[in-house]
Amino acid sequence: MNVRNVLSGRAVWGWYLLLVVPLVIGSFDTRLMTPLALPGYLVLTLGSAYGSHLFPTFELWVFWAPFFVGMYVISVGLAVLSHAFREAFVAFK
Amino acid sequence: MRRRAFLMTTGALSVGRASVSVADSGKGVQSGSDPAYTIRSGTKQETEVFVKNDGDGPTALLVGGMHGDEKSGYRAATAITKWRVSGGTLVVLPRANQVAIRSNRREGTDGDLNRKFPTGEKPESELAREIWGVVSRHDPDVVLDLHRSIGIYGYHESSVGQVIWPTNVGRANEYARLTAEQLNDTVVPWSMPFHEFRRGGEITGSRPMLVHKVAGDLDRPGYIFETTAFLLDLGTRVRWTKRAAEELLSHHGIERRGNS
Ligand SMILES: [Zn+2]
Repeated sequence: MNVRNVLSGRAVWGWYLLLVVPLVIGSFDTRLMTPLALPGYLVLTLGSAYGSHLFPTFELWVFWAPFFVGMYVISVGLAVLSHAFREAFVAFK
Repeated sequence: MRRRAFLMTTGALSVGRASVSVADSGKGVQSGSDPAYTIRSGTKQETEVFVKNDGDGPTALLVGGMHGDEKSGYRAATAITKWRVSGGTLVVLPRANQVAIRSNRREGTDGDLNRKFPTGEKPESELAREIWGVVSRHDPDVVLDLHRSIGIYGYHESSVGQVIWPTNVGRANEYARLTAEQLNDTVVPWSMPFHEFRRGGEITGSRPMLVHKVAGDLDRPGYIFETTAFLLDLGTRVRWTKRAAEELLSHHGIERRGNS
Protein backbone atom coordinates (compact mmCIF):
# COMPACT_ATOMS: atom_id res chain seq x y z
CA MET A 1 0.00 0.00 0.00
CA ASN A 2 1.72 3.20 -1.15
CA VAL A 3 0.93 6.74 -0.01
CA ARG A 4 -1.06 7.52 -3.13
CA ASN A 5 -3.26 4.50 -2.54
CA VAL A 6 -3.70 5.36 1.11
CA LEU A 7 -4.84 8.92 0.32
CA SER A 8 -6.84 8.45 -2.86
CA GLY A 9 -7.34 4.77 -3.57
CA ARG A 10 -10.65 3.34 -4.66
CA ALA A 11 -11.46 2.31 -1.11
CA VAL A 12 -11.09 5.90 0.10
CA TRP A 13 -13.54 7.24 -2.45
CA GLY A 14 -15.88 4.34 -1.88
CA TRP A 15 -16.12 5.14 1.80
CA TYR A 16 -16.33 8.87 1.07
CA LEU A 17 -19.28 8.53 -1.29
CA LEU A 18 -21.04 6.20 1.13
CA LEU A 19 -20.67 8.68 3.98
CA VAL A 20 -21.45 11.88 2.08
CA VAL A 21 -23.86 11.19 -0.79
CA PRO A 22 -26.89 9.94 1.18
CA LEU A 23 -26.83 13.05 3.37
CA VAL A 24 -26.39 15.45 0.44
CA ILE A 25 -29.36 13.85 -1.32
CA GLY A 26 -31.42 13.97 1.87
CA SER A 27 -30.62 17.63 2.39
CA PHE A 28 -32.15 18.51 -0.99
CA ASP A 29 -35.32 16.59 -0.26
CA THR A 30 -35.96 15.35 3.26
CA ARG A 31 -38.16 12.56 1.90
CA LEU A 32 -34.97 11.04 0.47
CA MET A 33 -33.19 11.12 3.84
CA THR A 34 -32.61 7.40 4.37
CA PRO A 35 -30.98 5.60 7.31
CA LEU A 36 -27.88 5.40 5.09
CA ALA A 37 -27.48 9.12 5.75
CA LEU A 38 -27.33 8.59 9.50
CA PRO A 39 -23.51 8.67 9.90
CA GLY A 40 -23.27 11.89 7.90
CA TYR A 41 -26.31 13.27 9.70
CA LEU A 42 -24.73 12.73 13.12
CA VAL A 43 -21.37 14.17 12.08
CA LEU A 44 -22.85 17.26 10.38
CA THR A 45 -25.38 17.99 13.13
CA LEU A 46 -22.95 17.61 16.03
CA GLY A 47 -20.11 19.24 14.10
CA SER A 48 -22.21 22.26 13.16
CA ALA A 49 -23.55 22.47 16.71
CA TYR A 50 -20.00 22.64 18.06
CA GLY A 51 -18.98 25.02 15.27
CA SER A 52 -21.90 27.36 15.95
CA HIS A 53 -20.78 27.68 19.58
CA LEU A 54 -17.21 28.45 18.53
CA PHE A 55 -18.31 30.83 15.76
CA PRO A 56 -21.80 32.07 16.65
CA THR A 57 -21.84 34.66 13.87
CA PHE A 58 -21.29 32.11 11.08
CA GLU A 59 -24.23 30.85 9.08
CA LEU A 60 -24.83 27.12 9.48
CA TRP A 61 -24.21 26.20 5.83
CA VAL A 62 -20.57 27.20 6.37
CA PHE A 63 -20.09 24.01 8.38
CA TRP A 64 -20.61 21.85 5.31
CA ALA A 65 -16.98 22.69 4.40
CA PRO A 66 -15.35 21.12 7.49
CA PHE A 67 -17.88 18.28 7.13
CA PHE A 68 -16.61 17.42 3.62
CA VAL A 69 -12.98 17.61 4.78
CA GLY A 70 -13.64 15.66 7.97
CA MET A 71 -15.45 12.91 6.08
CA TYR A 72 -12.45 12.59 3.77
CA VAL A 73 -10.14 12.08 6.76
CA ILE A 74 -12.54 9.48 8.18
CA SER A 75 -12.69 7.77 4.78
CA VAL A 76 -8.89 7.46 4.66
CA GLY A 77 -8.99 5.89 8.13
CA LEU A 78 -11.74 3.47 7.13
CA ALA A 79 -9.86 2.53 3.94
CA VAL A 80 -6.71 1.76 5.92
CA LEU A 81 -8.71 -0.27 8.43
CA SER A 82 -10.59 -2.22 5.81
CA HIS A 83 -7.32 -2.90 3.96
CA ALA A 84 -5.64 -4.16 7.13
CA PHE A 85 -8.68 -6.29 7.89
CA ARG A 86 -8.60 -7.87 4.44
CA GLU A 87 -4.84 -8.54 4.69
CA ALA A 88 -5.30 -10.23 8.05
CA PHE A 89 -8.18 -12.29 6.68
CA VAL A 90 -6.12 -13.39 3.67
CA ALA A 91 -3.15 -14.22 5.94
CA PHE A 92 -5.23 -16.69 7.93
CA LYS A 93 -6.59 -18.40 4.86
CA MET B 1 -34.46 20.91 -11.06
CA ARG B 2 -37.11 19.62 -8.71
CA ARG B 3 -36.86 22.80 -6.68
CA ARG B 4 -37.29 24.99 -9.75
CA ALA B 5 -40.32 22.97 -10.84
CA PHE B 6 -41.73 23.45 -7.36
CA LEU B 7 -41.25 27.22 -7.50
CA MET B 8 -42.91 27.46 -10.89
CA THR B 9 -45.85 25.41 -9.66
CA THR B 10 -46.44 27.60 -6.64
CA GLY B 11 -46.11 30.71 -8.81
CA ALA B 12 -48.81 29.41 -11.11
CA LEU B 13 -50.96 28.42 -8.16
CA SER B 14 -50.87 31.86 -6.59
CA VAL B 15 -51.90 33.47 -9.89
CA GLY B 16 -54.74 30.96 -10.10
CA ARG B 17 -55.79 31.68 -6.55
CA ALA B 18 -55.96 35.43 -7.16
CA SER B 19 -58.34 35.02 -10.06
CA VAL B 20 -60.40 32.40 -8.22
CA SER B 21 -60.92 34.67 -5.24
CA VAL B 22 -62.26 37.42 -7.52
CA ALA B 23 -64.56 35.04 -9.40
CA ASP B 24 -65.82 33.35 -6.26
CA SER B 25 -66.40 36.36 -4.06
CA GLY B 26 -69.91 36.50 -2.70
CA LYS B 27 -70.20 32.85 -1.80
CA GLY B 28 -70.42 31.54 1.76
CA VAL B 29 -67.73 32.10 4.34
CA GLN B 30 -66.06 28.71 3.79
CA SER B 31 -66.02 28.65 0.02
CA GLY B 32 -62.66 28.72 -1.73
CA SER B 33 -60.24 31.13 -0.21
CA ASP B 34 -62.05 34.45 -0.12
CA PRO B 35 -60.54 36.90 2.30
CA ALA B 36 -63.06 38.17 4.81
CA TYR B 37 -61.41 41.57 5.07
CA THR B 38 -58.07 43.31 4.87
CA ILE B 39 -56.03 45.25 7.40
CA ARG B 40 -53.71 48.20 6.71
CA SER B 41 -55.83 48.77 3.59
CA GLY B 42 -54.38 51.15 1.04
CA THR B 43 -50.84 50.85 2.45
CA LYS B 44 -47.87 48.68 1.45
CA GLN B 45 -48.65 46.55 4.48
CA GLU B 46 -52.18 45.73 3.28
CA THR B 47 -52.90 42.08 4.00
CA GLU B 48 -55.85 39.71 4.05
CA VAL B 49 -57.67 38.00 6.87
CA PHE B 50 -59.59 34.76 6.17
CA VAL B 51 -62.44 33.43 8.27
CA LYS B 52 -63.69 29.82 8.16
CA ASN B 53 -66.47 28.69 10.35
CA ASP B 54 -68.73 25.74 10.82
CA GLY B 55 -71.13 25.63 13.72
CA ASP B 56 -70.74 26.88 17.24
CA GLY B 57 -67.45 26.26 18.92
CA PRO B 58 -64.13 27.75 19.82
CA THR B 59 -62.35 30.35 17.74
CA ALA B 60 -58.71 29.95 16.71
CA LEU B 61 -56.45 32.57 15.16
CA LEU B 62 -53.54 31.36 13.05
CA VAL B 63 -50.79 33.76 11.96
CA GLY B 64 -48.01 33.32 9.40
CA GLY B 65 -45.45 35.66 7.91
CA MET B 66 -44.55 37.66 11.01
CA HIS B 67 -41.00 37.31 9.75
CA GLY B 68 -40.73 37.81 6.00
CA ASP B 69 -37.87 35.37 5.42
CA GLU B 70 -39.68 32.45 7.06
CA LYS B 71 -41.38 31.03 3.98
CA SER B 72 -42.65 27.82 5.55
CA GLY B 73 -44.79 29.80 8.01
CA TYR B 74 -46.62 31.92 5.47
CA ARG B 75 -46.84 29.16 2.86
CA ALA B 76 -48.38 26.77 5.37
CA ALA B 77 -50.74 29.50 6.58
CA THR B 78 -51.72 30.33 2.99
CA ALA B 79 -52.50 26.67 2.34
CA ILE B 80 -54.54 26.57 5.55
CA THR B 81 -56.76 29.41 4.26
CA LYS B 82 -58.13 26.77 1.86
CA TRP B 83 -58.96 24.26 4.58
CA ARG B 84 -62.49 23.53 5.61
CA VAL B 85 -63.02 23.10 9.32
CA SER B 86 -65.74 21.87 11.61
CA GLY B 87 -66.61 22.62 15.19
CA GLY B 88 -65.77 26.30 15.37
CA THR B 89 -64.15 29.25 13.70
CA LEU B 90 -60.69 29.48 12.20
CA VAL B 91 -59.35 32.95 11.48
CA VAL B 92 -56.17 33.04 9.37
CA LEU B 93 -53.80 35.96 8.85
CA PRO B 94 -51.41 34.16 6.49
CA ARG B 95 -49.08 37.03 5.56
CA ALA B 96 -48.80 39.29 8.58
CA ASN B 97 -45.85 41.33 7.36
CA GLN B 98 -46.26 41.83 3.61
CA VAL B 99 -43.38 44.30 3.28
CA ALA B 100 -40.95 41.88 4.93
CA ILE B 101 -42.29 38.94 2.87
CA ARG B 102 -41.88 40.83 -0.40
CA SER B 103 -38.25 41.65 0.40
CA ASN B 104 -37.63 38.17 1.88
CA ARG B 105 -36.25 39.75 5.05
CA ARG B 106 -37.01 39.08 8.67
CA GLU B 107 -37.93 42.71 9.28
CA GLY B 108 -40.33 45.02 7.50
CA THR B 109 -40.46 48.81 7.53
CA ASP B 110 -40.86 49.12 11.30
CA GLY B 111 -38.25 46.56 12.40
CA ASP B 112 -39.05 43.16 13.89
CA LEU B 113 -42.85 42.87 13.91
CA ASN B 114 -42.78 40.17 16.57
CA ARG B 115 -41.15 42.56 19.05
CA LYS B 116 -43.98 45.11 18.90
CA PHE B 117 -46.47 43.44 21.25
CA PRO B 118 -45.61 44.41 24.84
CA THR B 119 -47.91 42.96 27.48
CA GLY B 120 -50.05 45.57 29.20
CA GLU B 121 -49.34 48.27 26.61
CA LYS B 122 -50.47 49.29 23.15
CA PRO B 123 -48.65 47.49 20.32
CA GLU B 124 -45.77 49.58 19.03
CA SER B 125 -46.49 49.97 15.31
CA GLU B 126 -49.53 50.64 13.14
CA LEU B 127 -49.35 47.10 11.70
CA ALA B 128 -48.98 45.52 15.14
CA ARG B 129 -51.96 47.54 16.40
CA GLU B 130 -54.15 46.36 13.50
CA ILE B 131 -53.04 42.76 14.05
CA TRP B 132 -53.98 43.14 17.69
CA GLY B 133 -57.25 44.58 16.39
CA VAL B 134 -57.82 41.25 14.59
CA VAL B 135 -57.21 39.48 17.90
CA SER B 136 -59.66 41.76 19.72
CA ARG B 137 -62.29 41.51 17.00
CA HIS B 138 -62.42 37.70 16.98
CA ASP B 139 -61.52 37.18 20.64
CA PRO B 140 -59.85 33.80 19.87
CA ASP B 141 -59.72 30.93 22.35
CA VAL B 142 -56.31 29.96 21.01
CA VAL B 143 -53.60 31.61 18.87
CA LEU B 144 -51.01 29.86 16.68
CA ASP B 145 -47.99 31.72 15.33
CA LEU B 146 -45.95 29.87 12.68
CA HIS B 147 -42.20 30.44 12.41
CA ARG B 148 -38.96 28.97 11.08
CA SER B 149 -35.49 28.84 12.65
CA ILE B 150 -32.05 28.38 11.08
CA GLY B 151 -30.84 25.64 13.42
CA ILE B 152 -32.02 23.35 16.20
CA TYR B 153 -32.74 24.56 19.73
CA GLY B 154 -30.12 23.48 22.24
CA TYR B 155 -27.65 22.45 19.54
CA HIS B 156 -27.13 25.44 17.29
CA GLU B 157 -26.32 28.78 18.85
CA SER B 158 -29.37 31.06 19.31
CA SER B 159 -31.62 28.76 17.28
CA VAL B 160 -35.11 27.71 18.30
CA GLY B 161 -35.97 25.10 15.66
CA GLN B 162 -38.08 21.99 16.19
CA VAL B 163 -39.79 23.42 19.26
CA ILE B 164 -43.43 24.18 20.10
CA TRP B 165 -43.64 26.87 22.77
CA PRO B 166 -46.96 26.93 24.67
CA THR B 167 -48.33 29.73 26.83
CA ASN B 168 -48.63 29.02 30.55
CA VAL B 169 -52.41 28.89 30.22
CA GLY B 170 -54.90 26.03 30.42
CA ARG B 171 -53.71 22.80 28.85
CA ALA B 172 -51.48 24.42 26.23
CA ASN B 173 -48.41 22.82 27.77
CA GLU B 174 -49.88 19.34 27.49
CA TYR B 175 -51.17 19.94 23.96
CA ALA B 176 -47.74 21.15 22.86
CA ARG B 177 -46.20 17.94 24.22
CA LEU B 178 -48.83 15.74 22.55
CA THR B 179 -48.39 17.55 19.24
CA ALA B 180 -44.60 17.16 19.39
CA GLU B 181 -45.05 13.42 20.07
CA GLN B 182 -47.52 13.11 17.22
CA LEU B 183 -45.13 14.80 14.78
CA ASN B 184 -42.24 12.62 15.94
CA ASP B 185 -44.32 9.48 15.47
CA THR B 186 -45.70 10.37 12.08
CA VAL B 187 -43.41 12.69 10.09
CA VAL B 188 -39.91 12.91 11.58
CA PRO B 189 -37.76 10.00 10.32
CA TRP B 190 -36.20 7.90 13.11
CA SER B 191 -32.85 8.41 11.40
CA MET B 192 -33.06 12.18 12.11
CA PRO B 193 -33.09 12.06 15.93
CA PHE B 194 -31.99 15.66 16.45
CA HIS B 195 -35.00 16.82 14.44
CA GLU B 196 -37.50 15.41 16.91
CA PHE B 197 -39.92 18.12 18.02
CA ARG B 198 -39.86 19.21 21.62
CA ARG B 199 -42.00 21.34 23.86
CA GLY B 200 -40.41 24.66 24.80
CA GLY B 201 -40.61 26.46 28.12
CA GLU B 202 -43.89 28.20 28.87
CA ILE B 203 -44.58 31.63 27.41
CA THR B 204 -45.62 34.05 30.12
CA GLY B 205 -45.97 37.51 28.62
CA SER B 206 -42.45 38.51 29.57
CA ARG B 207 -41.35 39.36 26.01
CA PRO B 208 -42.96 41.71 23.47
CA MET B 209 -44.18 38.96 21.10
CA LEU B 210 -47.72 38.34 19.86
CA VAL B 211 -48.17 35.02 21.65
CA HIS B 212 -46.60 36.45 24.81
CA LYS B 213 -49.22 39.21 24.73
CA VAL B 214 -51.92 36.59 24.24
CA ALA B 215 -50.68 34.97 27.45
CA GLY B 216 -50.06 38.19 29.37
CA ASP B 217 -53.08 40.28 28.38
CA LEU B 218 -55.71 37.68 27.51
CA ASP B 219 -54.62 34.69 29.57
CA ARG B 220 -55.37 32.42 26.60
CA PRO B 221 -53.66 29.31 25.23
CA GLY B 222 -51.27 30.06 22.38
CA TYR B 223 -48.30 28.51 20.63
CA ILE B 224 -45.23 29.55 18.75
CA PHE B 225 -44.30 26.82 16.28
CA GLU B 226 -40.67 26.75 15.12
CA THR B 227 -39.37 24.33 12.54
CA THR B 228 -35.79 24.43 11.26
CA ALA B 229 -34.20 25.03 7.87
CA PHE B 230 -31.27 22.81 8.93
CA LEU B 231 -31.36 19.76 6.62
CA LEU B 232 -35.08 20.24 5.94
CA ASP B 233 -36.21 21.39 2.51
CA LEU B 234 -38.95 24.00 2.23
CA GLY B 235 -41.66 21.57 1.12
CA THR B 236 -41.00 19.39 4.17
CA ARG B 237 -41.09 22.38 6.51
CA VAL B 238 -44.43 23.46 5.03
CA ARG B 239 -45.88 19.93 5.40
CA TRP B 240 -44.71 19.58 8.99
CA THR B 241 -45.99 23.07 9.87
CA LYS B 242 -49.43 22.25 8.44
CA ARG B 243 -49.48 18.97 10.34
CA ALA B 244 -48.63 20.74 13.60
CA ALA B 245 -51.38 23.31 13.02
CA GLU B 246 -53.92 20.59 12.28
CA GLU B 247 -52.98 18.73 15.45
CA LEU B 248 -52.99 21.79 17.72
CA LEU B 249 -56.33 23.01 16.32
CA SER B 250 -57.78 19.57 16.88
CA HIS B 251 -56.75 19.64 20.55
CA HIS B 252 -58.69 22.89 20.80
CA GLY B 253 -61.82 21.42 19.26
CA ILE B 254 -61.47 22.59 15.67
CA GLU B 255 -61.19 19.73 13.21
CA ARG B 256 -59.95 19.93 9.68
CA ARG B 257 -62.69 18.63 7.40
CA GLY B 258 -61.90 16.62 4.27
CA ASN B 259 -58.53 16.99 2.63
CA SER B 260 -59.05 19.81 0.17
ZN1 LIG C 1 -39.86 33.96 13.19
